Amino acid sequence: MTYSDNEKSQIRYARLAGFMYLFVDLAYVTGVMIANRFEVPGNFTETAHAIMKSELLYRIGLTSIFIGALSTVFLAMGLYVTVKPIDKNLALLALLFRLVEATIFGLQSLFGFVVLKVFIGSDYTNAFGSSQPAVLVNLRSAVNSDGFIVAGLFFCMGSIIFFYLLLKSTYLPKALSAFGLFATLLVTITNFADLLLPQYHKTLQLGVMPLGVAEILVGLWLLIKGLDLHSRES
Amino acid sequence: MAGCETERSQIRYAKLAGFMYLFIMAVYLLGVWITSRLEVPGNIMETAHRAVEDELLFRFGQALGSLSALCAVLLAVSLYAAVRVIDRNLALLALAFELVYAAVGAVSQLIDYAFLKQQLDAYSSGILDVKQLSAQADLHSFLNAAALNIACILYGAGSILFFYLFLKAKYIPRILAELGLFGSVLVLFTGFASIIFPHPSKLLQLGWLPIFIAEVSVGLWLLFKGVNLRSQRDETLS
Repeated sequence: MTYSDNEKSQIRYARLAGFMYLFVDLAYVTGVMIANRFEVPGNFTETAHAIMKSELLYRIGLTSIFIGALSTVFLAMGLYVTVKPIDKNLALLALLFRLVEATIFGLQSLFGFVVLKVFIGSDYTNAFGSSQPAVLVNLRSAVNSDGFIVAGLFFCMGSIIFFYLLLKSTYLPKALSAFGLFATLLVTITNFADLLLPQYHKTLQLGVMPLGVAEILVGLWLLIKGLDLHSRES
Repeated sequence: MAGCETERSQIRYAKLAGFMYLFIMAVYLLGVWITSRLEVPGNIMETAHRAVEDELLFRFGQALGSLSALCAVLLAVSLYAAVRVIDRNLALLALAFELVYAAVGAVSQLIDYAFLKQQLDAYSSGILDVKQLSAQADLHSFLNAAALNIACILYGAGSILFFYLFLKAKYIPRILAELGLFGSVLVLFTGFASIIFPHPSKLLQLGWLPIFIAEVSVGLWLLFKGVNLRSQRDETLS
């Protein structure tokens, strides 16, 4: 079986997308886990102490989240080239949604670094005491969680379209694409519900789990098995 | 005939890209000059006083920041149009990075305005004392530094791809494309090093020098000499 240049490029970009699915998930999970290690809920002073003790590690956590946002651009591009032959306009729309998502997450990383100054800057607590900076930090966590949901909605729009095109294309096993589509729809619903009913945040977070599984499976499939272009031709 | 039209469009966009490289650089340097005229390092009261005294100049300096974010989009699109013939997907990836960079840059500017407005109001109304104002100013400069580093990582990623495509295409002299590629990689590393290490060395600032030289040189080249499409044509024929 010989492939044209376009098909070869499509296969390469699909592998890139597979790798990036895994890499982006890893970067976000690592970053969030590191950042969460430092946070003592409702206690600004203790959180600040923990960060001051190991500022470098905290910065690595924030950088890891930023790398996740940066890599989203590679992932989106990999998926775009993969599904472009199915529907160019829809693929472009999905790419744009994911670029907006990357922008919002990039900005969230920026806020993370700014608030770091409030934690580590003794001049800030000297000037304002410990209660006022705590208000700023609380505001940042509100921005963080709501920003995550808003960015998540852009992610969902892009992801729904990409999975729909994968399902339409039969490049992947139908069950895998359908599972990805279902999982993304579930996250869309839970994200909207989270905006409306923040008191159920923890329960609603469980809605992300199927998507985590779907992304890992699709990532592994694209990376190891690659694209099945034969079925499309037949 | 269609090929000729494509080439003419490529040449036009390359010239626009050259102009944009120089224009953005000029706008950026003018902004830095205005800020340095108004800012008194370590003295927030004097800085705020000068900003209130010469508010128009101060606002003009701020507006230049937004203008450069806007022009970054024009630069990115013109570079995309100039090199997409070489590799459409890589060119689009580079464009995507530059668009995210422009969006992050524009929102950072917005936050910067809000921060400054709050500081100036606090200064005029006397709500905050000197110590509190200094702490706010310190946080503000930290915000600017973080925004610059994050933006330069995104910019560097796109710039690496554009210069790689210029190198592959042989549209501009090899040495210029290589200098641009090297400068962009260095900018990316400088950005990452500055956000990861708590006390980055002042030497890191030198990381900006190669890309500055490369962008001015490539800008002048593209504007006056344009792109050399013959090498690409020869390659296609062979």
